[in-house]
Amino acid sequence: MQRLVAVAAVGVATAAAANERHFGFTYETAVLPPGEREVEVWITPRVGREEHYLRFDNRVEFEVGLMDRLMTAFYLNGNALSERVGDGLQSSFEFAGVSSEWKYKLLDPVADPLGLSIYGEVTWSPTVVELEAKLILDKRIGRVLLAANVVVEQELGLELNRVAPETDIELDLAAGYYLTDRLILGLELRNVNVVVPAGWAYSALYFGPTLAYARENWWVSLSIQPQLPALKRSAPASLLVLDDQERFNARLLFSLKI
Amino acid sequence: MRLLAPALVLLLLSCVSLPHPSPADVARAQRTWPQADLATLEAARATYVTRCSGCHLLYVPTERAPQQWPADLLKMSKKAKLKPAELEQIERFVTVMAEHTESP
Repeated sequence: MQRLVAVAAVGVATAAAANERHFGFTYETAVLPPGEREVEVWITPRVGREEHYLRFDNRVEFEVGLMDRLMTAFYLNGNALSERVGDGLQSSFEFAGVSSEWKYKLLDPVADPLGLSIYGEVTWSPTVVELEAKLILDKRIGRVLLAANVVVEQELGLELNRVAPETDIELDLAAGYYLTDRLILGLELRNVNVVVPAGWAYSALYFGPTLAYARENWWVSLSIQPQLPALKRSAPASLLVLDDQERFNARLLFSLKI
Repeated sequence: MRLLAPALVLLLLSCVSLPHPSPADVARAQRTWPQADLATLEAARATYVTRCSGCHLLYVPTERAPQQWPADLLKMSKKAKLKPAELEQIERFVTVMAEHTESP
């Protein structure tokens, strides 16, 4: 066991800033140290629904560490969409609002038995307010990195102060292995659920590889996530959920320390 | 019975975490710092966790020889903007815990 403890951080500790993300969709508990700043660019392609559907969700994030355990971030969001409408294709680009993120680390993944952070995000766009809460768990054992998230998201429609009767619940699991001090290869499983007043609308699954590389002042992460047969289908004719989810998701993250 | 599995998992995970100082570590520390006790070493561990985990994944002290730590800490302390008192606390913790062994 002593040997296992001794190798718990060997090699990986020389990687870049602590806040790099190793998985595209699953968060880890790390927060930026006070005064540190990073800019992150997100590109999330969502490809293929029942008919032609191609959407790029894009975000630019400015992160800053406020206290030893607390960080915040500000986002600008946008998306570009191409989809079949009738006999033709329709393209659009829209500003999707701004977001404010707050993350507080309660337990450290090396110092404590399990890393634990709580996370809150508010997104405000012209037509909708989204509230998102995350419980983040992670642990590093030797060259293996494990992470799990429980995510609850509620949309509040601004029109007539209507509360949209839909809640998204997502469970994320990820495991990675440090191939070198800077390069990590992993797998990520996401379970995306939508709950409506009538019950569970669907329960979609995504699973795929992730690759991340970090230097001292920047890091990059790529995840590719094909959809797997759903745990609960939204339509009996399809194994996949394709009316509200896509055949493939991917996410590219690039971050630069400033 | 239902609680047994999570408890065992937590126990296993705690075994691969940063160790806490033991009476044997205190005795070893007192050879260099006579005033050292369990409370000061625990406080030093807390400083190490708080001030170092923001910049990198925490090192387990046993992965380096005690004499290797001061020079490495000095380099990192500049980037982390550690105060002299914090650097001294952290140096004591990691050099003492570099020879830590699990109790049988």
